[in-house]
Order: sequence, then structure tokens, then C-alpha cells
Amino acid sequence: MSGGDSDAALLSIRGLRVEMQSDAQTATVLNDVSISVSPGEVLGLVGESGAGKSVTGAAVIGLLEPPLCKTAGEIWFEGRRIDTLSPRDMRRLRGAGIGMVFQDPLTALNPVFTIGRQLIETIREHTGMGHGAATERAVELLDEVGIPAARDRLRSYPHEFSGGMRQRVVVALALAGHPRLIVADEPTTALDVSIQAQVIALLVRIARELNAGVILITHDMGVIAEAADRVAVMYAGRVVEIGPVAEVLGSPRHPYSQGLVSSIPNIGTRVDILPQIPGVMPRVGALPEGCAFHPRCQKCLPVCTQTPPDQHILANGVGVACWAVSGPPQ
Amino acid sequence: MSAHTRAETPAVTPPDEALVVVRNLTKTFDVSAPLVTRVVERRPRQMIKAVADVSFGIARGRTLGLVGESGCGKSTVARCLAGLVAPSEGELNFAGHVLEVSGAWDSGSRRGIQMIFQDPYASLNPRWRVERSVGDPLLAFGIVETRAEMRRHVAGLLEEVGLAESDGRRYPHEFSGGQRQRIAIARALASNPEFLICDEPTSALDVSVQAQILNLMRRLQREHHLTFLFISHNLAVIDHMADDVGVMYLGRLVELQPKDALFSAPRHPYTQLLIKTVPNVDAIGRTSAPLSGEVPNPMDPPSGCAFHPRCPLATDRCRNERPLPLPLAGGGQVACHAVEDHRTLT
Ligand SMILES: Nc1ncnc2c1ncn2[C@@H]1O[C@H](COP(=O)(O)OP(=O)(O)OP(=O)(O)O)[C@@H](O)[C@H]1O
Ligand SMILES: Nc1ncnc2c1ncn2[C@@H]1O[C@H](COP(=O)(O)OP(=O)(O)OP(=O)(O)O)[C@@H](O)[C@H]1O
Ligand code: SF4
Ligand SMILES: [Mg+2]
Ligand SMILES: [Mg+2]
Repeated sequence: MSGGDSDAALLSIRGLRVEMQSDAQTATVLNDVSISVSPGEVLGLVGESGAGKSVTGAAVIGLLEPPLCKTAGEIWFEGRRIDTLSPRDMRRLRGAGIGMVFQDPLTALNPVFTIGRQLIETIREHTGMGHGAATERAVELLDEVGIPAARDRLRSYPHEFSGGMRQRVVVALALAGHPRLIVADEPTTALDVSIQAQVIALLVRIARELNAGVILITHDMGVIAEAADRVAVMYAGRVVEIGPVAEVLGSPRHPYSQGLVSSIPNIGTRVDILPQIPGVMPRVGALPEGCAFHPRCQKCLPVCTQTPPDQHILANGVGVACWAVSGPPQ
Repeated sequence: MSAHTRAETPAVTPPDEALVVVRNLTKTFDVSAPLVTRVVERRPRQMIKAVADVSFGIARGRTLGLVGESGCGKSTVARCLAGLVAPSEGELNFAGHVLEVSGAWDSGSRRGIQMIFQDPYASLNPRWRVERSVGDPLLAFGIVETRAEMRRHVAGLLEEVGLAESDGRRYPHEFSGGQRQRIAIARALASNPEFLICDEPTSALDVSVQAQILNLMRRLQREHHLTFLFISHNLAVIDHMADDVGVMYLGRLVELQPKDALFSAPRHPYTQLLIKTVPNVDAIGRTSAPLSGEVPNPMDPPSGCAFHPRCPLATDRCRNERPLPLPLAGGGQVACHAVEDHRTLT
């Protein structure tokens, strides 16, 4: 297992494989993805667009839909296998055990109902509380996520809130069923920096105070650096590097992570040309043989063009899937 | 205070040297509920001043970066310049000519202006082959006469942005986000523009692709001597791309300075807080202190300085009187009473 003790894990994804199956073709979208999250831990998931971050998140919350389907692997949550649950049990778990936050707060909120009505209904659905108790809980939750004058704001409509406030309401909705795990897929991408900082701080606080696990999917490495405890870097459907954030961002070992980290513009470090990784990530269904990164890799060895590298755990606890790091197979 | 004390155009680029001049640009949107609803619920008309009295100039070959919170009016400034919305007040100048408020995208006076959007998919016609999307402006502006000529020209443009000639025969959905943005750039370049308005061109892209696009844009700027208005909410991207940086807050330009000065010595309290809250890769495990307070309601902006409810330096003067742009020594301007009164953050 990769960079975490899966016995103590809240969530553990083991050898997950997801395929896209259509009449025309079958293609691998996720391959041998193994990730674990402990209570109170924020795990960052980064990687190029199309790398499989959202599909991983969708698999965890049981929202894989055709043409995507899981063809291998297991997902365990609090000691229980959840990838085989019935849709009904999964829906119940989504409300009560696992919460979700998506990129666009407007699609998660219904514009024609008040914030209060949406919160209260969600709370009642997940907890079976009466209207009065649910209203109190709604006020509490809005308070929790830092909405001032929470009781008055129950009567507000989504459009009367700013982007950051709306996203905090979505977080409040995700918290309604007392989740122990929150999957946040690009929760701040639509927000600007000042509001982004508020939402990230909120998610980190929830992880710490409520001892919940958080999977934070984003392509903003700055956000990962500040919020995550561990980070998994994905490329073409695989986890290529996973470990403590200081190690992975501070001294990345996989050539793709190295390229990713060095291509980030930084305030104050002026360069004429940003370092860039040449080429583009291969598309699903057109993966090259061997390591999927090899056509873009400057450290490519002969073995890389033939055999995909296994994950190799380094002394510092970082897992890396790269022949140049682990040495070619014997 | 009379209007005369106001810096009509900022000192960063004196107007006579500027290719693009924006003078006192104001744009008001009517966002009232439908008349019936207003009457039934006795609600007043509601207006949003998306852009209020914004002035700046951009010299030929330079890049002005525009930053600010979501909803502060950056895109509205861009869309006014591109002719996609009509300004309510103010004057826009391009290459010495007043830009007419026609609103027509491809009207003659705007031929030298092109715009690149955040979502390259939305700006490309999904049913057109790339060749047609890129080549259309060539025919429209009469740059080429025949289809064969157009094909040749398009092939050159695609190569210039790092795509292959054969990509011209494919459709937008066959490309990745970064490649689509390259196509959008190729199309923008087709009409040989002098001025490129880039509204969050890399915000939908991930960092490795972003680096490719930013490098491409800078190379094209050098080679074609392009002038950029570059909008982003990512301060690191702005730092990389811009020569001068304007900071907007609730429709107003609150600070404008050369990039070095802005990042090393920001003057406006909002700019200072903004720079402090940037998530930074070097700040592992250190959550930046979020800027407190809410983004104010643009339909009902705070009195005086619109930033005062969130400002650590606010005084009664800030609550009552709107600060006017104050010219700064090194060029640039800032609109803040605290700067004028020499109060600073401790
Ligand atoms: N519903 C679907 N049908 C077919 N293919 C899909 C579907 N959803 C995702 N994919 C494919 O699976 C791959 C992984 O997609 P995913 O959405 O997980 O990427 P991501 O890492 O979240 O990228 P982004 O940063 O753009 O959100 C992509 O190649 C995508 O095209
Ligand atoms: N067509 C429109 N009708 C009504 N209101 C509008 C319209 N376009 C913009 N606005 C309003 O004008 C203000 C400024 O919007 P604008 O899109 O310029 O902001 P922005 O700075 O580009 O924000 P973002 O970073 O989110 O893109 C916002 O309050 C917005 O709601
Ligand atoms: S004018 Fe006053 S309130 Fe506005 S930014 Fe300056 S100090 Fe703060
Ligand atoms: Mg995604
Ligand atoms: Mg905008």
C-alpha cells in the first residue's frame, strides 16, 4: 500500500481499475489506483486534466455511470467494503458517511429555493430530524462554515450570496449528514484567491476539528501545498507519486511531478520562459506501451517503453512509479 | 474634490504613448426583476455598476495585467474594449482613434483588436473544422481571397501555435483544453491584430499546460510586437506576464503600478491583503490567513471607499468619502485615504 497505513485508514482504495466501455471501444481510464486516507487527514489529488482525478472521486462516492465501470479493485470505508453496495445503500452512505463538494456552487444549489429550505430538507433526509430540530441544525451548520447572521440568512436565495458564501453553503450541505469523509472536487476553481483561501481554510478546519478525512482534488498546487497533508500525483489514470506534501512538492522524484512542480509560476521568481513539459498527455484509449509518461520523459530507459513501472516505496515514505527512480527490474 | 484633481489617465503609460487608452469607463447593467414582479412585490429597479470610472493606458508592446476578485468587473472592461458590450460612459481609444460604441464585434475600428476567452471550447464553433474557425477571419477581413490561400495561411498559423497542419481538418472536441486554447490563439492571430485581450486564458488549464500557453503567448508577443490586456485571478500568472498591473475592487481601479513596484511595495490595503493570501507552493503546511469579510453586494456598494468594511485601516473618512486616484512617485496611482494620510498596516 502506498504511503499510508491502510489498517488505520478511514478510506482505502486498492488496485482500482475503471474502464470506459462503449460499443466502439473499451479503454482503461484508471489503472491500479491505490490510495488511503486517515481520519483528520487532507489528501490532495493533482495531475493534468483528464488524468483521472474526478473519476477516482466519483468511484469513491459510488457515482460512476456508464460508459465508465469498475473492472477491478476494492474500496473500503471504515472497515466496510463499499464498492459492492447496492445503489440504495450507497445513496444512504453518501448522505451520512461521505459528503461531496463540487466545483460549481450554483449547480449544487437550486436557485428557486431558499438556502434554509435546501439545508433543512437535506438535514431531515439524512438524519430524520423534525423540522424544528433541523432548522436549529441548519443555523448551526451555517455558523460553522462562517456565514454571518446565519438565522436571518436562511431566508436568502442562492443568488443573494457571493460566490464564496455559496460555496460555503455547499460545504454546509455536505456536512449535514455528519460525514467522516469529504470528497471535494475542485471546490475553489471557480472562486477568486481571497474567497478560495476562506473555503480551503474551512475544509482544513473541518478535517482537524471533526476528525474527518478530506480528498481535495485540484490542479492548483499552491492550494495543495497549504492544505494537504499528503498528495497523490496522477498521470494517465495511474498514481505516479504519493507521499507527504513536503516531500512530493519539495523534492518530487517522478519526472512528471518534477515537471509539474517546476512549471508553476511563482510570484517574485522571474523567469523569461517557464519550464514546460513537452508534448501532451495521451488520450484515454491511446495509451503507449510501458510507462504512459515515457514519450514525454527525459529520463526514459529502454524498459520504460515496454513495462509499466510498479510503485516503489522510498525510505521517506513516498511511493513512486518510475523505473528511473526504482531502477529497472532484475 | 473636483474632477480636476483626479488623474485622468494613470502615469504608468502617458496617453500620448499609449496604443490603448481607456478614459473614465463606466458600465451599468440593469438587473431589475421583470416589471410585473417589481410591481407585485414593490421592488425597485436594480442596477449594477460593474465598472466605475476606470482609466488606464497600455503602451504598444506592453502588457497590462488586471486582477481582482470575482465580479469586480475585469471581464466587463475587456468586453467593452472588444466591443462586445457598449460602455455606459467614458471613452475608448485605440491607435489614436476613438472606438465607436457600435457593439459590432468585427467592425472596422476594432479590426486590430482580438480577444481570447477562458473557455476555448465555448469560443470555437463545435461543428466547424478547426481550419474554418481559424480561417474565417482571414476571409472576413479580406486577408486572403481563395480557399487554397486560406488553407496555406491557416497551416502557417497552426504551426506557429505548435499544432500540425493536419489538425486543421479535425473538430474542437478532438482536442485537449490546452490544444483548444492554442486554436483560439491561432484564430485570434489570423487577422494580424495589434492588441490582444486575454480574459483568463489559462484559468481552465492545469499548470503544465498553462506553462506551455503562457510561453507561447510571450513568444508571439515578442515576435509580433503585440500589446496585451491580460486578465487573471492568479497573481503568479500576472507577475509572469504583465509589465504593469491594475487591481480592481467592486468596479473601480484601486491601484495601478508597474509590476515590480506592485508586488514589492503594494500600496492599497486590498492589494496588500490579496498578495498575502495567494496560495504558495513554497508555503507547505501554512494556510494563508483568509481575507476577512464578505465581498460586498455590487447592487448596494458600501459608502465611501467600497473596501472599507473589510479594511483594517478604515476610518470615518473612508466610510464617508470615496478616495480619488492619487498619482504615485514611480508612476501609477492608488485610491486610498490611508495612503494619502500616511497610515500603514502594522
Ligand atoms: N462519462 C465519461 N465518459 C467517457 N469518458 C469519460 C467520462 N468521464 C471521464 N471520462 C474520461 O476519463 C478520463 C479521466 O477523466 P477525469 O474527469 O477523471 O479527469 P480529471 O483528472 O478530473 O481532469 P480535470 O482536471 O479536467 O477535471 C478522461 O480521459 C475523460 O475523458
Ligand atoms: N450581462 C450582464 N448583466 C448583468 N450583470 C452583469 C452582466 N455582466 C456582468 N455583470 C455583473 O457585473 C459585475 C462584474 O462582472 P464581470 O464579469 O466583469 O466580473 P469579473 O471581474 O470578470 O469576475 P470573474 O473573475 O468572476 O470573471 C458582476 O457583479 C456581474 O454579476
Ligand atoms: S480608503 Fe480606507 S477603507 Fe479604503 S482601502 Fe484605503 S484605508 Fe482601507
Ligand atoms: Mg475533474
Ligand atoms: Mg471574468
